[in-house]
Amino acid sequence: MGEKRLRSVDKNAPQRTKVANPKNLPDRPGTPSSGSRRKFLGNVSGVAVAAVTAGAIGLEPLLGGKESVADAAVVPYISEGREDKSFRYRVSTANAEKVNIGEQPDNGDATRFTDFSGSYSKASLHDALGVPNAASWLSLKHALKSGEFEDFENIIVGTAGGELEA
Amino acid sequence: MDLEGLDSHATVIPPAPSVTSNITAAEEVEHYWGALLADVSFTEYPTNSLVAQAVADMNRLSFLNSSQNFEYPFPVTPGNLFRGQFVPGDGNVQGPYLSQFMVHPTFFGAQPISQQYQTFLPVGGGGGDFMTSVSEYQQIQNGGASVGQLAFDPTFRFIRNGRDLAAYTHVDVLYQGYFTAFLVLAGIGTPPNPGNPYIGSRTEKAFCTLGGPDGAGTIAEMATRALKGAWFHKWIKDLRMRPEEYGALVQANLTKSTPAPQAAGALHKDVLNSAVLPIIHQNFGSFLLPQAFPEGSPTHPCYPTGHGTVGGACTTVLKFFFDGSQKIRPLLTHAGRDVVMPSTDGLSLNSYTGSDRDNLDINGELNKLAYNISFGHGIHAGIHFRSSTYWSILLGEQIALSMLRDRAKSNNEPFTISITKFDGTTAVITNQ
Repeated sequence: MGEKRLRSVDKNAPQRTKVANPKNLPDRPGTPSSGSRRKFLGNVSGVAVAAVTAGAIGLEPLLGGKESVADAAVVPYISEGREDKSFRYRVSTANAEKVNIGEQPDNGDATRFTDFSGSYSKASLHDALGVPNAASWLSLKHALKSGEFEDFENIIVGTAGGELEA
Repeated sequence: MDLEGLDSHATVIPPAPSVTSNITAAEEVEHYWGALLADVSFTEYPTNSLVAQAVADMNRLSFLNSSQNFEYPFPVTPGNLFRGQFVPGDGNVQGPYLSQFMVHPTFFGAQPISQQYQTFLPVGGGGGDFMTSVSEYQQIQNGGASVGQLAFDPTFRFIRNGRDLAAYTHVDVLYQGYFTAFLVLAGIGTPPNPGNPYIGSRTEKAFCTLGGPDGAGTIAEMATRALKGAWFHKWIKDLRMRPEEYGALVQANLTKSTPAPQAAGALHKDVLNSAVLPIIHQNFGSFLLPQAFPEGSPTHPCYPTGHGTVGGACTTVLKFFFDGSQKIRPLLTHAGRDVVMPSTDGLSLNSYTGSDRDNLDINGELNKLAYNISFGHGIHAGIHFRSSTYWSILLGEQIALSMLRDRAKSNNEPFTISITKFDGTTAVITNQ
């Protein structure tokens, strides 16, 4: 509802905005809440919250009570216009950075040396000097491929947690 | 993922050099020499006999002698040993070894920054190298706790040698060196980039955009973006081994350990024939690569380096905010200073009297700073091959440019800012 009201703001809005008297605002626990934006606003006090809440989220019908008039921004601006401009910037930037360059090649060492001795293996389990344990190295590669937190937790390491070997 | 700049998977650097290549062999040889020379002050390089042996040995390496050599100043001399290069003869090989931004005291607000650091004690003076026995190496390689302990020098010093640089990079906040450079640049009155639209304005002044707070914040902001890019290549694309792991392959090859690692039998002969290996074995009793840190490298792959990627990104930011074409000596002298270099003991700063002191410019000293810090972590600490540094700095530049260009579109003020990239070409950031 809030977003809908926000978008319906008149582009030719007056420079002065009618807002509720903050003294008549309901207690915070009783304020209608329907999302993080309102929760955030709930932490703001005074005229600002009245202006923002009433004007931007459309709570006028819920506020009731005597109304007063607060000043608009010193330099008037069109909130909706700013919203659209900011949104367009973010979308255009995201589009500009939407780049697919394809999968990048490695140097082939990881497949050339079938005992994985040509690749990084520090902290993995090793069978001998310079020779990673295959199951350990593959558990690292599996986690890197899946990206799952649990798979990283299950990597077979030489001495988990950096403890000294028994 | 991130909300600004290129996605990590859309950043591009070549595949890491193979473990079998002559470039990796050359880089490992350089690491061995770096370990042996860690306690030799940069000021002593021209006269040190071990430096002369390193220079002669490295000049025999096939990669350095080839047309493929993009990253080593060649021929190697005592004056350019362990220095970086993007373009032959660039700022990396001019002036003192250390960038002016790592030595000049400055202020962080009202707080003085001396540029003197806590360093490690030298070998023979209470300090040591690490992971030089097979048992110690294997324990750490398996993820075990480190065996040795660092010994700290109770006297704070200006950075004077490779071990000092390694100590700096053991605990630095990754953008620290570049933030300090920002303070030095501002402190000596470096003009803003000529494309800054506020230059000459009678009514406006750069502040939260294109001004000091923007620059200071952007430097720090770049660090995490740079790391995300680096981590993609480290873990998904390459998984390049660490120099210490390569040293284990050298050890396995030369001692014929069993079962033999397949890669040990495929190492390039340049490393096996290097004059450095007998010295390493004589000093340490193995062919493992001595490490400056008890734990050796951190537990993530070598290529590219986190330090280097952050360095490339942050340096690019500094070029965006400041006029990189300015000669640095006039700025320093105007501020009552001069081009300086740490004394041999690191207790004072001496004027640098080299004939090229008037040629040093901001861009060159920034490029040198990125290499200084990344080589401190790499060549001098023993945990990153040179090519990992080279490509990481270029990766950082790529990431920073994409972010700066994204952000330019958010600025209200129209501007076109040009910077000189590491390769000497010009990059333009504009919203016009």
